Amino acid sequence: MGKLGKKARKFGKKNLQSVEKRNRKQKPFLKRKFAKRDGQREGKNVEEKKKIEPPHKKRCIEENPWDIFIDAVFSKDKNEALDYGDSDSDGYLAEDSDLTIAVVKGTEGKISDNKMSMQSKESLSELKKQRRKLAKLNEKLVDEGGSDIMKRKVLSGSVLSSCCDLVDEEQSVQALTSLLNWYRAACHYGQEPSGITKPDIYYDIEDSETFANVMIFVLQKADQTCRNMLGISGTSNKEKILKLKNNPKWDSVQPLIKSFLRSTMHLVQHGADLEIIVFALSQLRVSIVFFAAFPDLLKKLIKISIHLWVTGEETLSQQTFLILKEISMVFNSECFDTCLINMYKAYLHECDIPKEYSEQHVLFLRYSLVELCSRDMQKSYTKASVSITQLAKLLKMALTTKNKEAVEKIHSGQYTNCVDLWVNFIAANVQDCDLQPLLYTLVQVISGVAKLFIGPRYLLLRIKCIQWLNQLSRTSGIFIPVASLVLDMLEYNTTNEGEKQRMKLEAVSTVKLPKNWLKSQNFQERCIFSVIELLAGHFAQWSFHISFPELATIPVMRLKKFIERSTMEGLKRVVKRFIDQVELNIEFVQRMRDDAAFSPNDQQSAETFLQLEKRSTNAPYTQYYQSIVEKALGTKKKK
Amino acid sequence: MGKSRRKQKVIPPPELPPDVPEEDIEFSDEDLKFVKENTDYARFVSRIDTGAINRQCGGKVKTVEDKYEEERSKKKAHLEEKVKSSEIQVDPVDVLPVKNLDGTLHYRTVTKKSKLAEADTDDAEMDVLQDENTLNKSQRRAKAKKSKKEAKKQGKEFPEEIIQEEEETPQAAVLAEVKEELSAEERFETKKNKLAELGTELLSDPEAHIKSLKEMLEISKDENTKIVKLSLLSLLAVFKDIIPGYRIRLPTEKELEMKVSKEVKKTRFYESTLLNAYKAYLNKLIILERQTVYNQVATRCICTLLDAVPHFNYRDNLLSSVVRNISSPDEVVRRLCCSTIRSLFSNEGKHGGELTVDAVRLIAEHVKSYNCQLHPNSIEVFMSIRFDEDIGKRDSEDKNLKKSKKNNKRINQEEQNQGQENERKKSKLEMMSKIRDEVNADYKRETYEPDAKERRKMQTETLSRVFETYFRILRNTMHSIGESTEADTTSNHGAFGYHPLLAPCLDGLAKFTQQLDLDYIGDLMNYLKKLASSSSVSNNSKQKNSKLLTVSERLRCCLVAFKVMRSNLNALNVDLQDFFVQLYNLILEYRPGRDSGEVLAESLKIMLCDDRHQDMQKAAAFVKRLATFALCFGCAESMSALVTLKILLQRNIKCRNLLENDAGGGSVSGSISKYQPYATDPNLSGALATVLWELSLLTKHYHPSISTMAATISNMNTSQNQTFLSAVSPQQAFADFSLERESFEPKNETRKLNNKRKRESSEEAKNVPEIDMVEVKKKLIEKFTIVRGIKEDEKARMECS
Repeated sequence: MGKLGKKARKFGKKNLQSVEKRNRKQKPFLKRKFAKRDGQREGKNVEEKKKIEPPHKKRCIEENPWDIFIDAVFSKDKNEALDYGDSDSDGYLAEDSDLTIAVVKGTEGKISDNKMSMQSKESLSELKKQRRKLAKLNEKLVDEGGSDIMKRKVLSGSVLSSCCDLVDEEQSVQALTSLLNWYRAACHYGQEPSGITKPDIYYDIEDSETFANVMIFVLQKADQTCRNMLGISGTSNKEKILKLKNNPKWDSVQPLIKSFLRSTMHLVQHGADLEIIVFALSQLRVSIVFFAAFPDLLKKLIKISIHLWVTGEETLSQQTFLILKEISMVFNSECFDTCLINMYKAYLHECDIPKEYSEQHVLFLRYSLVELCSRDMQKSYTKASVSITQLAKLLKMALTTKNKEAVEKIHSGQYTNCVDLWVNFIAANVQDCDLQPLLYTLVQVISGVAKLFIGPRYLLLRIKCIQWLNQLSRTSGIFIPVASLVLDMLEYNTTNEGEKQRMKLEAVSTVKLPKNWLKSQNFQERCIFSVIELLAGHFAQWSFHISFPELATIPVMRLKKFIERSTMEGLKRVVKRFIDQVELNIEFVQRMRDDAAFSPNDQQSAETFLQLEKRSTNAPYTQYYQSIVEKALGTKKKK
Repeated sequence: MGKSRRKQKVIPPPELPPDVPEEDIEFSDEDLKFVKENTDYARFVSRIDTGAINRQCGGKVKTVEDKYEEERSKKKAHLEEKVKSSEIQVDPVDVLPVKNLDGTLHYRTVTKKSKLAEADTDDAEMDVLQDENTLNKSQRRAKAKKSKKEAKKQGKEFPEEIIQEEEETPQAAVLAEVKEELSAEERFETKKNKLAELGTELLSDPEAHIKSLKEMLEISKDENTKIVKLSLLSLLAVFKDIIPGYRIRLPTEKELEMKVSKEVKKTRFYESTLLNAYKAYLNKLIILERQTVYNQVATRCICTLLDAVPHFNYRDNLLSSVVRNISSPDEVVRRLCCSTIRSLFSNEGKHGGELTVDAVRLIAEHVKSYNCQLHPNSIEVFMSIRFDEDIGKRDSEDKNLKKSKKNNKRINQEEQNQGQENERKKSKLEMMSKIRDEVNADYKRETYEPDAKERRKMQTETLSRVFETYFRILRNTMHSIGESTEADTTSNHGAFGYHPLLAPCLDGLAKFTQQLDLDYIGDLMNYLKKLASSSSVSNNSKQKNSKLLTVSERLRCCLVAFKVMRSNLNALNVDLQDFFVQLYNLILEYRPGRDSGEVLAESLKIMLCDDRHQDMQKAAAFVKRLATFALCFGCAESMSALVTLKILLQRNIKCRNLLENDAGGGSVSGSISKYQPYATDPNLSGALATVLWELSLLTKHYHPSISTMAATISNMNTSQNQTFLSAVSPQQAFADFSLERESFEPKNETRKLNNKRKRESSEEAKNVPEIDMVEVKKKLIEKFTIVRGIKEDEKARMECS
């Protein structure tokens, strides 16, 4: 899209509401196309599920459950946030004679950018092939153009070192300019038909050592040098940079910075090796402040980073997250929402795609998203509230109408991961902020989910729900009764003695368990172990509370009945041990309680009751709980 | 076909065909052929009153007055002529002329001549048509039908023609097949039309066309299921309409011998035909009802008939077939039957209550013969029976009224002193009541009322049948529980679960307790007691017994017992202690998903909240157990438990000791000094010795309402006698706090949230591994070499080529 297009869009947004509306309608198609290519990149045919249509504010109950989108709640706000303009030039900086004027070579920029975007959409595996083709093309074109017109500038090791010295010692603008030009050439190395587009100068690099050195030097020093030139020292914020525009030096340095940022971004986008990208990103992070002067570049950076954040490997993902966090902190007012929303969407989209070994990655994504949210509670609170309301609406529809589609949507990965995200968010921040309303709604939503899916086949979902509730309860210090939810799982034992089989514990990522699974012995064990684990967690939180004996009464009774009924000796022993531990603790609390001199209405004294004992970790029940947790972790690892 | 003729046929007359000189009209060969073949159709042409037409159409422009006059005279003439000629002239619809674009005036007149005129049945219709100039509804319908028929006739002609032409071709066999198919379709169409025709005739004038009933019945014997269904439904519509409001009694032989007038004969003939046809129809229905194909249709017919004409002959047959289907596995059929029976019960006026007795009797027998394995719906219908206690008490009631009136008068007299205005008002009131009485008396005289004695007798029988059924179900359930240990669990339970009828039976018992004879109550209580405690007896046996009653059913038993006692004003000396024990244990066996929380809440309400005099020991035990219960379950259950708990504490001042941790709390604790949480008997739990520590945890509940509730309870005062009772019942609380009701709207208050957690930036990068510069450099070098290599390779290749 050219400059005109951008202006026209702006105009339309202001004056032509209907056009805007139509645009919004069309957006899904564009998006879909893009996502499909992404899917190919993953090498998998992922079912396209992204829904973009902005939800209306008020919805009636009868509506189609497919209309309630978890991921697209914010799409109305910032859908076009990442439509960055490609129109800016990305050419070499003019040297020597016209140093002060950065010549805008629109055509060149366009071509190269088009190619860039083209390439960006190709699969990584095909990148090299493409590159080869391109190079071939280049050669042809070069041949046609004739080499005599070209002025080759070859960078040799000695030139580089002298340039570096100049920059280091004298802050020479000229030296930096030429360095940056070579840097650009290095970044685009092997990708750009540099020959035809700018026939008068052709930058080349002599050998690999120089190539590496120029890269590393520019990446490490460019930021600091520019700062020195502009006379900024130490930390600087966005306002300072914007103010710099009045600075006379700015005009000379601005193109340099821009070239540096552009080239680095190109490197990040197209660099083949993980280490190079990570390094470039880590250096880019330092100069994020400079993006204040280039909003278009900033948008592009956000987009690239989010893509890398979602799809990248561990270190890369971490690095990009740091960038994103930096951006959202530095440009809080403009970019926080954009970052958050797009990351949220990308996260949910990622959750939809079943991948092997993606659990760790999703976990990381979730943690980083939570961390970002925690940065600006005010803003993320509203986002969380909107999102949770959406979850609740869907649940309510499923509860009241038992609509099949709605029910299916709830036990999709998207829904559970969304709940998981907000559980973690609340758990992380409930200590510091008053999140009571969110917490309450979320607890209700989770209990609703647990209520909606009854039966052994949804065992995993139920375990997850209870874990969430336990987590929320543990972090917020409020009481959430989970005993009845846990104890229901005791009744899942449907097997008789005769049919004992071992089933392989695999493919349990699906929310609904296969039917034949239910009769296996593993399932029984899993049931009982989960009951013990979850109940132990629930009790551990209140093990020193004055009401502990009463809290444990009904569960203990239920477990005793189970022992009477059950025929599996191994499981019985585990349950028996748990009961013994709990009863010991009951006795202990009761003994202490008999000496207490306050009544139940004295909340303060109740709060302080047994707090000292709680802190010491050698109480028998605490130790027992520790052992259970370790054991659970061990079995998980074994898997 | 002639162009002009077709145009003229259209009924709301359009403008006349354009004036074309006769020479200009060209006839196609086809037309000619058609006319030759169907000379009959064209016969009217020879009879056209050309003069009249010319006068109408070709005439000069006339004034409106002239027009009117002419019309009138014409009409007269036509009235005379019409019998002779089959040509019809419809009056101009619009008398006012229409001005054309070229300025000429046209009068809308139409001569209607069509094949209709030739149909033999049309004569009568045409008369009416010409007399009234408008078509009434039924005729219009008939006409539409007829035109359809015609269209079909025309349609028929084409295939025939084709066939004629191509008869000798080798595809004759195929054509014959096509023909057969077509004719089958046609037959279907004709039959449908025939049905419609007959039906409309019957509806328009039943007396004249009563014989058509037989024809319709004939059609219903067709092989085509569609036709049969259609005929059944149309017969249903006809019968529903023409069945008289009285029962037909066929004349005896003696009466037949007597000489009667023509009118009476006609009526007798009509009635007997109707009755015979109805009988045949019912037979047909009852036979078809047993076939799966027709089951729904036939049942629908039967139900509608029984609902619409419950007073008419053969209603018993209808009723028995409805009852037979009352537990049908087909949902639609079952619903239909149940709703029919319900409407029978609620509209007793239609049949004088006799059918109620019969229906109840039949259902009772049905239940008996199926050994209580029926769908719950079949017993639920009993809930719609109304038992009127006032039958035969009217007289005494009147007396009472008078008495009270006297009292009123006396009061009036006393009040007379209070002023005259009052008196005027009073007299006005008195007059009004007088008038009302008179009107009532008149009304009573006019309305037909069966003998009170008779009605009472019927009602007694109904009642005894209903209770017989209920007791049979109870006994059956008991029996099945008793034998369950020995009998195989796979015995025939049908599709309705283990005790399908128990729940509606208990509901019914609860509803009709007031009608229950005191003699039976003792037995009933015994049954209920056994049922309520059923599972705790056989729980010891390790065998999993699915035949046992569920928690909900047992709770219901307790509930019914309480309701029975309450409605009889506790007149009986029955110990309800056992039921309390049951409830005390059932609370622990409750499971949210499996058992109905509503029943639990209701039993909390009836058994605990409404009970006035409670043993302190027992109340304390329940308080403690409810508090424990509230710790383990969801909001709805917790809330209803807390509401009950609060009410109990408000009633029993001494139980409020539970709220205080008294060092010497043993003073009120009674014989048992230590609380036994797992005790099964509330009286032996020693609950008074404990403290309600649960409240401390409940105040931390995530649900704000529960937490505030717990806080209020824990702050109740021991000394003060709080007589104020909260208005919320446990049921209400349960309903309000169930998840289905939850609005899930987070209160979106604008709140200030401070971002406390601004970590320093140095902390951030901690978890990111350090970048290995050497590695980076190596990679960069590698990259360069690779790319360079590629480039050079390409170049070399280019040069080679």
